[in-house]
Amino acid sequence: MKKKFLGMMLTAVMTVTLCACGSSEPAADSTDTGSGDAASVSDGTVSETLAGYRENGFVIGADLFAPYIYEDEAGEMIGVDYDILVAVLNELGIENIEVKPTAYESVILELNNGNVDCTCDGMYITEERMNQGVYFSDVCYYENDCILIRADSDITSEDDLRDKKMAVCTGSVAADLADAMLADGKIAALDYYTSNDLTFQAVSTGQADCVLCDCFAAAPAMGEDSNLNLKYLDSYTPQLEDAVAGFGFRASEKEFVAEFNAVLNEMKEDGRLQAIFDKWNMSSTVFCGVEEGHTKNLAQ
Amino acid sequence: MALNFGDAFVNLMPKLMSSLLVVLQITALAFILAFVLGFLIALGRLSSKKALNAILLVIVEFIRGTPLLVQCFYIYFVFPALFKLMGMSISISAVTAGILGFGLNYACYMSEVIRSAILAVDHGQVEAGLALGFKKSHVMLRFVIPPAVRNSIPVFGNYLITMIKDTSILASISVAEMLLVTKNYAAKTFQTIEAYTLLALLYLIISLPLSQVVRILEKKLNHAKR
Amino acid sequence: MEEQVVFEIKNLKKNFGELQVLRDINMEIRKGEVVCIIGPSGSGKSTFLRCLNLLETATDGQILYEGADITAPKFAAHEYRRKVGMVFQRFNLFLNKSVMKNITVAPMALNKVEKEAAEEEALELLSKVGLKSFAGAYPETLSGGQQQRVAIARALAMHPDVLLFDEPTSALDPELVGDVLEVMRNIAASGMTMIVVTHEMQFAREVSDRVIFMADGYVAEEGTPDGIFTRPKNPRTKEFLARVLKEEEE
Repeated sequence: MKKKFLGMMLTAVMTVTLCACGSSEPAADSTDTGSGDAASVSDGTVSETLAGYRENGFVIGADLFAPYIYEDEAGEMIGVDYDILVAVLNELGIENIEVKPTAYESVILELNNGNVDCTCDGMYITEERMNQGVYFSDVCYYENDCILIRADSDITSEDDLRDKKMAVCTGSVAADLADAMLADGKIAALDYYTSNDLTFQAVSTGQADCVLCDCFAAAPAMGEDSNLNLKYLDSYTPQLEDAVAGFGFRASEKEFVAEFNAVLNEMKEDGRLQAIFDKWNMSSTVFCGVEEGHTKNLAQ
Repeated sequence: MALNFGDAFVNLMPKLMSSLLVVLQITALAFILAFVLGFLIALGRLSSKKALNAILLVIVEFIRGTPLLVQCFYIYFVFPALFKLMGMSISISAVTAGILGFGLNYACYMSEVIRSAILAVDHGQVEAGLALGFKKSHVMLRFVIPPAVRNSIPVFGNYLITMIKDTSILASISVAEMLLVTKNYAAKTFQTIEAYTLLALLYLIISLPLSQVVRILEKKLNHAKR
Repeated sequence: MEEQVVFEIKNLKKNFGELQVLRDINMEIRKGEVVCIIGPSGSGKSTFLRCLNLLETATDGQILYEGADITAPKFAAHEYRRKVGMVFQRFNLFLNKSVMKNITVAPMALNKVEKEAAEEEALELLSKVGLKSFAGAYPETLSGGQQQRVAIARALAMHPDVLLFDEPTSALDPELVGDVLEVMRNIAASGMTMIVVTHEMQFAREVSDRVIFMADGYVAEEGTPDGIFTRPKNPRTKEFLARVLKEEEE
């Protein structure tokens, strides 16, 4: 009699265990910091990673640099990258978000060590970085070049620039582009300045007619409260075509990245992302649509 | 890291040469402006008209009390903006701004040199001129200013040399002088060591002979005094 | 015989700030007179002389030259000084000009004399002062006595009516004094009106028509050379002469 009871108990326990194992999701990776698993939220199942972030908070690894992510006078974090990240993460239910100031050269290392959970600062999506273990989100924006002109300028097209003088910051990528434009006769004269703010000042004062620069370098100069009175030359087609930027995550968190991308693409479609760009006075050319913005991370 | 001076020389030198012309042009014009202005300021400061003296003193102290770079910035960026505010529009080229800035700045220093050189001329010479029946202004012109100018020449020679080297600050207002050209080259080719070494050598090649000339002038003038 | 009055000085006063240098000077100088002014240092002798050619401006009082009030405001001093020349204690030759140029620059510029005429006269004057061969030399190469003689020639080149001498030999080495005094003697003999501030008592005694002793900003005593030197009336004059003449003897 005792033997039969034990045997039944053993079978029952095994059955229950088997059932329990069968119904749980495939486990997330070892770097999971989350305790407990499938405690799902109202909108269905989430990855363990996401659950972990919801519980324990999310750390952004950032080299503080305007306009990507930086501190305002009150010491609060602001910036394009900050706004995008906070918007997406909040939507994913992550409220506890921290920014850890990290040197740009070491941010990937910190990511892999687990000290930060993503990179930003307009990092280009490159294979080299993927090989270092970075798994990129879909494209958050293009980092291309733009041309600024005075608000009251009558320049409307690139052709109009043929007899105009351009200012450019020496040593920048834009400088090489501007040299080529001068050589091709697309501009009449080129003045070099030793920093970006001086180029903006030159155009504003009338010492030059236009300035070629990186869109993100231009953004701070284009605010409503900036008395530089400049505007974008909208008809200008950027020459830097391949510079796509994305947020970098650990390769072990693919599912979380998929969740991230879902929200990011939603924001692209419903205009929330564009609203962020507008808030930061970005050129319209930085927007990257959903279709062309799919990042092909290396096969893991 | 392998240094390639040959490459740098062939690629950078031609650009440096044409920027050198810009430097010499600016220096020559600015120096002449500084000399003439400095002279007028010195005479104004020595005049008995108290109001003129006071106004000039304020201007001189202001210009000597602010950096040359700030003054050039002001002329290049701020003046056109100010004129715009007043409804007028002027355009000042970077080179013009450099010449004006340097001319004005150095004039204030040179005026002090001339002023003290004039005051250093023995007053007896002045009295002799007056006693013969010359008007005070003629006495100054014939008997005081020539020796004062001659005594100022060594100092002016040094100012000229300093001015040539100072032109490097005009890189900040986009003048295509030697430093800016070198910066551009180094930024593109990353041959920082080669480029800046060539730049420094070029400055030396210009300054050293000039220093020699000034020294010889000084000797000659001291000889003449005895 | 009454010679024409050249200078009339009335109640001349001169202060330098708080310091009263000339207290109340009254004097007449006649044409052709050689007047020597002597006195202790600080008595105002040089200041008085410099008031006469307006190198100093009088604080109060009047100076009339040939009837014209030279102390009046807006008086054309520069034209006046062409007629009243001065020889300085420290010569004050123009160091950056040759001897010839020193002498000719004023006549050519102010009296509109032609270059050849000016140079010719310069050479004559240089002969008179014994320096004919020095026309091309520069002042720094000349001795003090030579420079002073050139200075005298320079003053004479303007054909002044009066010559003022401000201690002309005080800055000279003793052995050079004689040549300069010699020149001055000759000028006196030619009838020039001369007012000489000097410490050379012998010269004053021998050459002047009148000697004026100044002390403490006043004219303490004046008279003929003989009168002053042998029969001084003012105790201060006596005291001064006693001291000075004793030095000369030594």
